[in-house]
Amino acid sequence: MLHKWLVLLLFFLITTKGFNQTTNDKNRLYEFLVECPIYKCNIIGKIFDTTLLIAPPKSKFMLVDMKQDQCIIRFTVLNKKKSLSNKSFSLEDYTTYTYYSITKAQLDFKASTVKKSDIDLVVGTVITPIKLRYNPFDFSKDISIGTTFGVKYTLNQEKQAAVDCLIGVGISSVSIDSFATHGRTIKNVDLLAFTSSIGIVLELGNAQVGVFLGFDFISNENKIKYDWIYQGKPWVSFGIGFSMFSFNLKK
Amino acid sequence: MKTTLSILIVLSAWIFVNDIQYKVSLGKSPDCNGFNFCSLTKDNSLPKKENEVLAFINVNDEKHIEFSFIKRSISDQIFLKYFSTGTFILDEDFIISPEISEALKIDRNKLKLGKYQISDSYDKYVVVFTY
Repeated sequence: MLHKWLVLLLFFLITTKGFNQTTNDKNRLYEFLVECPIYKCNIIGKIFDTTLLIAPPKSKFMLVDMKQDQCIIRFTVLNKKKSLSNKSFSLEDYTTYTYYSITKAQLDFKASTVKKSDIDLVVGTVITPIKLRYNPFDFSKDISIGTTFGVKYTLNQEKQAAVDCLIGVGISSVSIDSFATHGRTIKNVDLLAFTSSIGIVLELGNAQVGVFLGFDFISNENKIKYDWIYQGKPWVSFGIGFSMFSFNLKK
Repeated sequence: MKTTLSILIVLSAWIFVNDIQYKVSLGKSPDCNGFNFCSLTKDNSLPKKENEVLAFINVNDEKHIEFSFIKRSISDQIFLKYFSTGTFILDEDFIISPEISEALKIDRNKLKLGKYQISDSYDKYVVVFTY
């Protein structure tokens, strides 16, 4: 029993570590969320005009350089036909650029990265704590941990509302008993099972609610030994609070 | 050599004469605050006021008119207020004067209110308005 939980924990840690590495993205297009004081500077950050200027909310800028507490930015008006990620982006006259200085705290608290698409790729871990099984109806605390991936469609960026369509694979700990094995075993036995699932997760701010439909498969050896009645049969699970990381498709 | 030079001078003069610059006062009359055009005049002279910018105007079709605002004529304050978000806002319809309508050879003289995408085009910011 302990070994099985250790395997589950290890699987969870490995997948989570992988996600943290992939989220280290270097998208340098930002927009101010609120107005922000800025000063004109040169590209190495030397302020040469102390006139206080105010960048309005939603103004978009590139982070050109960062030096300890200082960030050097320049404003960017995107050409609709040529996005920044486009390789055919024509050469620009950098001598005409105007640079501005803001503090790192202002970048952190007053600006956010700009998304160029409402659709993101998402990967993450999903834990489904309770499963509802059918034919015959039963419910169990068979925990599944797995990797999920899919697409996320942002419904409302300001309210942080989104819907995720996910496909997942993972492993589960299933408890089987006499009822679920036509009496093949008298005492309860915990087995590992391969789990595949599909699900929909609704996100609103930090809250996430999801419903998953999946299938559990114990090993062929155990299947013959126990004749588990829910082998390959669908289950439904509801969950809240998932760990999802998203990647914008047009970054 | 002289012939080539003469042709170039004539060509430049022709382009200069045909590329009429307009002076746009940004803001909303009477005090030129807000998000609109305070005035639109045919004027090649350099902007004297903070909210004035130079622009070329082209009529794209029967519904769209393109303003190319010359970057060098845009002050920092004006850029930040009107252009830095990537969206140009006309908070109400702007009525083009008969003189300008005639110069542009357009029948309708109303730029419709709305949020218009700003495109970066090398030395200009281009906005296509609906009229």
